[in-house]
Amino acid sequence: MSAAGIVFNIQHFSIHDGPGIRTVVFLKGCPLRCRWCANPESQNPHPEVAWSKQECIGCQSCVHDLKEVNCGISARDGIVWDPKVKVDEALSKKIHRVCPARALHVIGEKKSVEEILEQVEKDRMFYNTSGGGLTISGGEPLMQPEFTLELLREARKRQISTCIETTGLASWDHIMPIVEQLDHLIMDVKSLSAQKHKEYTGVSNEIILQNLKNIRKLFPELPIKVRTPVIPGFNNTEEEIGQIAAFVKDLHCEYELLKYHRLGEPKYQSLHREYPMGQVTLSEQEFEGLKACVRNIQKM
Amino acid sequence: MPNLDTFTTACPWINLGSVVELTLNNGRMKKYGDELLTIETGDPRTFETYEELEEAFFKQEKYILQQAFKQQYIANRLHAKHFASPFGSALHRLCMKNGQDLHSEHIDGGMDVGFFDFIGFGTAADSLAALKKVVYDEKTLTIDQVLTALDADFEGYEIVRQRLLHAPKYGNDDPYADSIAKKIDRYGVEFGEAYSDYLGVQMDLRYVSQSSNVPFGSVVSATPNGRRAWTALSDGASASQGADTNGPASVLLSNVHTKNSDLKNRASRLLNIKMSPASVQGEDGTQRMIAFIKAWRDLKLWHLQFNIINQETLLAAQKNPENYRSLLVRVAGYSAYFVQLSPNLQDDIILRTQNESFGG
Repeated sequence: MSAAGIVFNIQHFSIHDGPGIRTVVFLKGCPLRCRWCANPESQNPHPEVAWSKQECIGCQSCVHDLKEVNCGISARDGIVWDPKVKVDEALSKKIHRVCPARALHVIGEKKSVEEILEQVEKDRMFYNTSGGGLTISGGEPLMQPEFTLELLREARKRQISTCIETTGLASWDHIMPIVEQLDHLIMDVKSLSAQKHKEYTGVSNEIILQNLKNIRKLFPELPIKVRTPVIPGFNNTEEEIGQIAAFVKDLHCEYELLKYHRLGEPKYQSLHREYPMGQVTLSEQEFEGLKACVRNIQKM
Repeated sequence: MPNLDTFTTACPWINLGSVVELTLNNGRMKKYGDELLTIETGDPRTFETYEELEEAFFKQEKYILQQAFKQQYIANRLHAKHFASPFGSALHRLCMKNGQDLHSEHIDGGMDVGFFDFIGFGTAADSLAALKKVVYDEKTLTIDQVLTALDADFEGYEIVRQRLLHAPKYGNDDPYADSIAKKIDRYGVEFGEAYSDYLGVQMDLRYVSQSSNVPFGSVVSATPNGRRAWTALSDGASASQGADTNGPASVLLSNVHTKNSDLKNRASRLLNIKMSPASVQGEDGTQRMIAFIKAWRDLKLWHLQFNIINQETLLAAQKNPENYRSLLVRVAGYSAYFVQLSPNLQDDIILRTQNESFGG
């Protein structure tokens, strides 16, 4: 095993990312820029600095000791730094050491397949009793195809169930061998309109939809769960959701709606980025209505 | 065991939080001034390695265990002279058969199994782990800086407290902290094993604090795990309040990895887990809870209890107790009406890490 990847989190005991109790490995880097993204720290493929205002105790250790990234204080934004400075391992270690409260921290770390599996193996007992396993998520796992493939292969060798959560945007050459290693696949279909998709995520949906169709054709028995995040102003209409539900039904996939939430908002602040969604919200009532619409289509 | 268990003397509770404080203050505790309470094991400022600190800790632990066992020896023998239990004895087959009172020092055919409880297991393990990491491994603080901050209850020393809080903690399946916790456990079990014969009672190490971690904490000043003075110690074999940030699976695994399975020890390790109601909602939630309990069973752990209540509900109950008279919470080995608990114990239950990752 030689591959290494940039990972920004390993979450033990996860229950929303495939069947049973799972360990989710979050890979850094995503080709999409969804406006509602709840994990903005996952988008940039490289390790990056972030600052959590809530954790900061105002000691200014970073201002004194982190000249490498030009740490300073701004009246408006709090602790600021030069985002263009490349965060290598040595700098990452130094930041970790300088900030006592870990308010200033580095997101993303290079990890080998072996290191990841050591973490994943810890929870084997819980996979056995719950039917869980490893889920690779992101970011976009297909953006680090060699690492993802090797991680899945090694997990399977060790009898650990595998799953990925993907946007589905990647070249077929990369997708095909990865899907061969999967016990479960979770994929987003955000909108069937190519133009709207491009406007709200930065990319068109053509390759994504084609990939999903191809996967289904070649792997008719693979359990696939399609998800749609219901986003106000983007796809929160019965027409839009109904179309996706019908498309998914034809492909014999499980289908789930995810309710828009604003939990990612503070993360934008940590990265000194503007939250692109403004103040919009989605009411429980509206969401329930769309769920009912999906149920009707599934019954037809 | 009905009709076999015949040991009825109360057993000792060992305050591991105070062992930490005694180690750091050369046998003294802030609450009791300059009185030498145990033995002098040296000023930690003179220790050059973590090993010296650990050695001092175990010397203090040993001294306290010795005192506890001496007390137990006397209690076991006084017990029969001062108590009689005619009714209880009448209900016990061996007592009736032998014509002996239940409180007799030894009852023929009976099993004498006692225990001693470690209170503040997580507090002690985390305190040693934090010192090892911050002072001796990473050297981001000196022992003097830590002791000064502890003496001030961290007032004006938030940087020190943050560094200590971010050191490895028991309950996250992290060998750094767990290996220290395992040593503390081993020392206790081996001590019990070595002196049980003298006592005439099998003394096993137990971790059932019930609610004692709160009053025990009230005599212990600030500790190097970042805990403030006079606040609760960790309960049972649970992680320190808020320290288990890696999810409930890791809590169970830490518990397993701090057991010394090569030694004989039968007594309970009480583990408290708090979850939000949403985490176990619906059929899926039930299935996950079953899977969690099955894993706990397969890991051969002893005692697991859940509190499945929103933190908001507990906070509301603290504020308006009259509206929450019927709110039952699991304390430790027993349930109680939340509003009847002391404010400190209420806080302790609120602060037990809520494992949101179980669901949400």
